[in-house]
Amino acid sequence: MVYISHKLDEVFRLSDRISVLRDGKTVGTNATVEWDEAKVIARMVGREVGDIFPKVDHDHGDVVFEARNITVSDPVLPTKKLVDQVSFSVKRGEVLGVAGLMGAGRSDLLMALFGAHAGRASGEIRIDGKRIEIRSPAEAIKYGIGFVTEDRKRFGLVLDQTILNNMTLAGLSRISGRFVTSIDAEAAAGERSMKDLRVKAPSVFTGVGTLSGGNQQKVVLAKWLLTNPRVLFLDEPTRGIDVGAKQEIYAQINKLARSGIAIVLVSSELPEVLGLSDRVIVLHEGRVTGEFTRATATPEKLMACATGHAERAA
Amino acid sequence: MNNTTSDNEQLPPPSDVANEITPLTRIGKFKIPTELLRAYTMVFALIAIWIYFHYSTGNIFLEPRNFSNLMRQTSVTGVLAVGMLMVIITGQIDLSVGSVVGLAGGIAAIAQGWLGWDLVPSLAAGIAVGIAIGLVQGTLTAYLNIPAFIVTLGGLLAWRGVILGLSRGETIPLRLQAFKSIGQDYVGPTVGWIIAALAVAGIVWMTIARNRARRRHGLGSPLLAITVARLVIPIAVIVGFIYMMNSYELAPGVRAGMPNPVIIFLAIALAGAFLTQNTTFGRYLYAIGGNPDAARLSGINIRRHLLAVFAIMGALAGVASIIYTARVGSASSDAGQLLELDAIAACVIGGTSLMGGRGTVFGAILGALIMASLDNGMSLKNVEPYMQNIIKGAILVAAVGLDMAGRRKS
Repeated sequence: MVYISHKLDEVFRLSDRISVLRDGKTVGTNATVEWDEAKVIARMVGREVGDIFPKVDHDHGDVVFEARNITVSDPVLPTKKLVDQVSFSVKRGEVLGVAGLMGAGRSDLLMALFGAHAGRASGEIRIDGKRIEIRSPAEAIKYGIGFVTEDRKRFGLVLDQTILNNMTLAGLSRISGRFVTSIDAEAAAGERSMKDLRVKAPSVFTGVGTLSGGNQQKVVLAKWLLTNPRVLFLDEPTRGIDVGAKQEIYAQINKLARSGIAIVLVSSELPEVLGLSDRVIVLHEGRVTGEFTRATATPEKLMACATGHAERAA
Repeated sequence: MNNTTSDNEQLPPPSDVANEITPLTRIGKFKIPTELLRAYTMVFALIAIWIYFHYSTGNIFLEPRNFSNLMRQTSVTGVLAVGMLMVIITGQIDLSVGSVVGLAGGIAAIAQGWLGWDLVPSLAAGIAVGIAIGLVQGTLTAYLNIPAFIVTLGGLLAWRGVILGLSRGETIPLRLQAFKSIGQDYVGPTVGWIIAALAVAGIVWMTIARNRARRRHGLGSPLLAITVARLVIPIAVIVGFIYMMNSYELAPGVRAGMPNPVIIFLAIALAGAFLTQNTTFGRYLYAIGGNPDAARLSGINIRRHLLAVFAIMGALAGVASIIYTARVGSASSDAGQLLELDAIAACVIGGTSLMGGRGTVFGAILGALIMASLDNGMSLKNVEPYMQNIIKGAILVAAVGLDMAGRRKS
């Protein structure tokens, strides 16, 4: 029998032999007795962290965004908590990484903070120390929050439409006019974004559905930058895009942080979280199980927290 | 923001937009933008239908008298199709409009007949009924999450029942001549030429503005032939249209000009085209239909927009009911039956996707013209009603089938 899981205790209880896969390749196979959890985790995360990430130390300002005791319940099973008493804050120009496995509640957390979660959410949100209520994405945008959602085809893009229409969707009334739209104003903004983010397409009037994943992701990022955000949530911003586009997105994230935007970065790729973040929190089953600074974070520690094998390691 | 890294990657040089905005369809050795092809296919289909009917009816169909009649018939379906288009763009449907036309027209007729109201309050009552129904159905759909198909199917039955009950099955004649005149009279030739002049000026101005904008955005000037075609074709259509309308003589020497309903329809079509293409509201409708999740996460209040769209549909059903009642000269409880299907068919034939996110007012108008032309032409040819239904049904399915086949290829 082949048993696939990232729950290590189950794996150890059930298996005779363990194979570890990373990026589609087997990186180690051995009898279970030869493994221990630390070894498995080390194989899972790999070692080549840091090469592709320019180490940039950001100057951080005041706390811009703060979430306190955020709890989100499952819309279908209200007794089940998807996010449980999570608190964090981000400073101006800071990148806060949120690590964790799939289903740890990272996307639920961001969705809830953005006023877009279907389940009941409670807790406190502060911007510049002032307590606010966010009941809808429109309100979140008004407070200067941008949200590059995961799964761009499902949540990010209107695939039938042009690059330009997608880029201007979230900030339309700001860019184009409150009611009557101006194609000139929109095209000017769109062309600037296209150049800044190096979107490769013949023109802003190209259908967004014809672009590669990386270019589509840049269009989603452009959409949120055109809302002039102070806080930017990024949920798996490089999933399913090629290495070159990844690098460009990394460079953008660093640049945006330097320009003073507070960034919350959710990613399943540990190298990405470690390479870009100034601080990292780790979620496991809806709770914060670890918090690290850039200096104290290691792949092993993050993975241990993410799998629930270390409480509050920092 | 500035460019950070190496900038030596060149974008492809800009060429004619038409070649890059839209997917292309290959016909023989020609590549034609698919959207354009779709629009022209419909135009050619319409022209073919007209020519066929013209010859097979012994040159009656395109005579000024019948053409004027055809346009008047198109008006009701056309007004409804503009509203239906907006509903369908958002991915919803409204099956109740035929019954709303019956109810709103009945209320207006009751107001002026049984209650003795003046013209304006009577018309307002009819339109208000349409808006109120739109708000109710919009609320049920958008805020209580009942599928629009079900809500408006219920409406189709219920509103028909209401007018049957209110009118006790009686036909209510229009007492006010001014009311009838909305549906039966003409604006005269001068108004037609004024409208033509304004339209020509508008087209010239828009073409210049468009070419300027293209140059500003580095898209290059379009071919002179394209610019000329963009000017000449619509101007020829408008002038020809007004000429036809004006050459219909009510009596020797008395030129009719456009029928009143046609003026109302054109005004609504223009407003609808502006609303869908040139406003944030219109853009949001396409986004909601194209990808509701992305629209919601981009800060669009989907519920409020759906409510607005159903209210607009209701208001337009009210307007259509007034034209319809005025044209017939009375309100009966079975007025407007099956109009919802004509309106939906007009949208679909005009290239609107029932999945939402796609479609234009121009297409819906073309579709309405095709539907009305089929009705009118087959009646002229004395095709029996059962056969008319079969043919209309087959054409609807065939039009969508062709459209789907075209999409799969692109």
